[in-house]
Amino acid sequence: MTPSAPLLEARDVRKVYDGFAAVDGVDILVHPATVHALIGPNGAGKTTLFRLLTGEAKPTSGRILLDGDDIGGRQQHVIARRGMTQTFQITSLFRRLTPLESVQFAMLAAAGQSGRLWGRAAAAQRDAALALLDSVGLADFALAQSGALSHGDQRALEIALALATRPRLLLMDEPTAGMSPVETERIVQLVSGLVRADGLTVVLSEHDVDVVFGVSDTVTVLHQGRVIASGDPAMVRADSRVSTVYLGEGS
Amino acid sequence: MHSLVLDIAGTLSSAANLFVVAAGLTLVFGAMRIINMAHGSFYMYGAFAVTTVLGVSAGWRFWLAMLAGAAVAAAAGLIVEVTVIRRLYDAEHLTQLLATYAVLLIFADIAQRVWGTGYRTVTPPAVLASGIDVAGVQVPRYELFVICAGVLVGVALWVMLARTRFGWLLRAAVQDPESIATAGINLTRLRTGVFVLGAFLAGLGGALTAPLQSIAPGMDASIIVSVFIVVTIGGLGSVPGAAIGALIIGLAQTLGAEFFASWAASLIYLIMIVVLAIRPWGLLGVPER
Amino acid sequence: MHTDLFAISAEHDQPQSTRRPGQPAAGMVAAAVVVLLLALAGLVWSPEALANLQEALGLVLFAVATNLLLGYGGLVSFAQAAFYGIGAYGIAIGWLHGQLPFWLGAAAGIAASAVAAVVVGAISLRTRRLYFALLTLAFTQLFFVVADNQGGFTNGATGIFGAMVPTWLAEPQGGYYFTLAVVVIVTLACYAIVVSPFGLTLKAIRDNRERAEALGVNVFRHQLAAFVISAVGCAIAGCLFAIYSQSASPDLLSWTNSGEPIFMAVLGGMNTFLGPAAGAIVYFYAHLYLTEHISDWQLVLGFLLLVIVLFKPSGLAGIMADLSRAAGRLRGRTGGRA
Repeated sequence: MTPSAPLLEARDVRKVYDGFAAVDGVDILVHPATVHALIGPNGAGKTTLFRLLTGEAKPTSGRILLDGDDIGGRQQHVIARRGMTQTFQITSLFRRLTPLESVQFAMLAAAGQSGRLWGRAAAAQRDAALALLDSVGLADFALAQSGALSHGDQRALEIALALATRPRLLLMDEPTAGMSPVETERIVQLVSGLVRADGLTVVLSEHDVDVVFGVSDTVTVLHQGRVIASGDPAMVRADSRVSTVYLGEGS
Repeated sequence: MHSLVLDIAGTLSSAANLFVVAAGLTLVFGAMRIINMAHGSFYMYGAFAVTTVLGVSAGWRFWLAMLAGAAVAAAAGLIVEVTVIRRLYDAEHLTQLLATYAVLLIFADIAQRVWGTGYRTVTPPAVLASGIDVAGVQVPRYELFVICAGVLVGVALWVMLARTRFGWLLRAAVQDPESIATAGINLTRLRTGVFVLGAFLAGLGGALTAPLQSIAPGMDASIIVSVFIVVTIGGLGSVPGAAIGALIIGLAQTLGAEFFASWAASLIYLIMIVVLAIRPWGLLGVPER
Repeated sequence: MHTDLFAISAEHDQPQSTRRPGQPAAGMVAAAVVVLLLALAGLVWSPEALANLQEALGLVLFAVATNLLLGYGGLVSFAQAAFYGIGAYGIAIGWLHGQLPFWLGAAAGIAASAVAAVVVGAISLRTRRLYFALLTLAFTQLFFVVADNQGGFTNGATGIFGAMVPTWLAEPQGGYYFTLAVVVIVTLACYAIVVSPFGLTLKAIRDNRERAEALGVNVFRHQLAAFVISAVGCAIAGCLFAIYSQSASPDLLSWTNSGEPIFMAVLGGMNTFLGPAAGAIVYFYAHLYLTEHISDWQLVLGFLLLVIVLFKPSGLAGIMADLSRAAGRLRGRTGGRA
């Protein structure tokens, strides 16, 4: 366990929809420069928890702290400015922009320059954007239309977009969904490389068990809106409650 | 007291007329998510067709003319659906707006060719021509006829929606389009049916009000704005909403003429702005998917 | 058959980054040549021809300004006629009531348009798509009613007519060159905005509003800014109209007048910057010719619009791109690039 203070914390967070508690008293501690995985069957509350963390939804009760500051219920673009961004489960790109333009836009937005009326966007942060695209393996496709890329390349662009804002914390909603083993491996390497090299903190939700246990430092298991186990991968894997509830159902 | 009765009759009859036309538009949008700018054209064709059937004199042919007007509009609707609307189901709103606006232009031109550029009038049949004594005031019988017709249409629509298979499919299409797509329904026929029904209602509205106004080119563009407002206030896809919207707008038009004189027209726009500012999906509408 | 005006079309929405920075686009060179030719035309054409061209140029600006919101912002609005009309009435009312010089009246009209745009935009942009369009339509009709009824201020339904511009501006050549200069300058300003980071943000919002929001962009504020900028451009176009016609009347503000620049933009190609300009010129002259020679111009216009919207949504610009690609293949090179 790292001795440093947690970067992201959820304290007794609840989210109730129409009397149904999708998230029912969840505590989470995410430490800097680690990969923290959230797993659980469908309906366990992973997606809802994600939406609470990113500001898409407001918690019914409980607190969400980013670096000690309460961000619960804040607007999405405000939270994004505080250094937390996300990738989406369903690829959500700017279809008619090129990858280069998309990344440049993300960088401009992060720098607060999205409203600048002078200067040419094409020249803005061009080298940095190309370097970022290179790091996710999209250097050859920088000038294609995003909507025309292959699925794996689109997922890579997803990640590049999130990284463009130089976040401290990256939330990834099922990043390897629908990917071939080769593509999955590419993403895994990418993510762990970024954590090691840049001190990035990653919270990801996943179904793929091998990905989870291969790359994570901490694993939290959700079931019916509650945490049933949390700790390092080996410990969680050995926990009998987890096997019964989740791993026993198959991935 | 006198003018109050007349005001009420006037409000209700214009509301009834608006309702008939708006019901058609709201059903088409609700079931097919199609915005049809040419809806006013069907209205106009209904009115013009009445003038053709009637010549100048009325009589027993009046009822025939009413139905003929609505039928002509329905036929026009069929042609438009098969040639143009079919291509628009998955298209952007702008595409639908522009394509149906193009249809409006084409129909307007054809109307001028067929019926000329001047205005026409229609006299109601003798049985409806005079006034009826209500609380000491002479209320035009024809206005009462329009009110009855509006109520009848409302009831008929309610029965259709609640009791017939077509109506059930329609309601399903409004609430959950995906459900009927997978149920093996002949989607093409359903869509054509809804669109033709919408055109029929518009034409019926035009035919009904033919004796109450001068029928001239341009009535397609002027009715479409009021109808859009009625449908938007009520909520796209909701027939009860169209009824409420029609009442509000009918009232606004009457009150406006009484109290606001030349500013009357602005009242309906203000109402729409206020309603949408408070309830962006209209009074009875569902948030757009 | 799926028709989509906003469809992905790699050929027609050329990203600027495909060019090596510093190398001017073929389109920019062509545009410069056109401006030069227009300047020369002022010296040789007849007064009637110049008057027509002057009117057409005003419409060019109207279409380009409208397309900032339509093609780049992805917002279908009916309010452009209102701002156009307010601009025109600025000059007219300033002359009628205050004997103001035209440029002062114009400034007032443009400022009033901007204020109106803030109000209309702030309320309308909270809704989406069809409801947004209808709200802007309602506001436009409101402005129309004001213009039509406020006899004391706007002279009501008759409108305002008179010698509201100085003689040098009312003369064919003076008016023409002034209009040409204004249109070129304002169009260049619009272009600068389109290639700026703000322009890129607008395009990103158009493509994926939620993602832009998630990346930290206040979508509402950016769209409002685009709404106001477009309104100012339309107001300037309206001023040019008042200068040309020396009049302002309520039908300038009717919602059907809002449809015209949209039609021009779609005709020329709303996915390109100068497409709407070409669309405006073609529309103006086609309308002029048709109304003189054919009585069924509405029919022709309707069919043309229908064919474009259903079969060639990328408009004239798309046709040009197709032709240049075909020419490139004929010459043996691979594909055509701008």
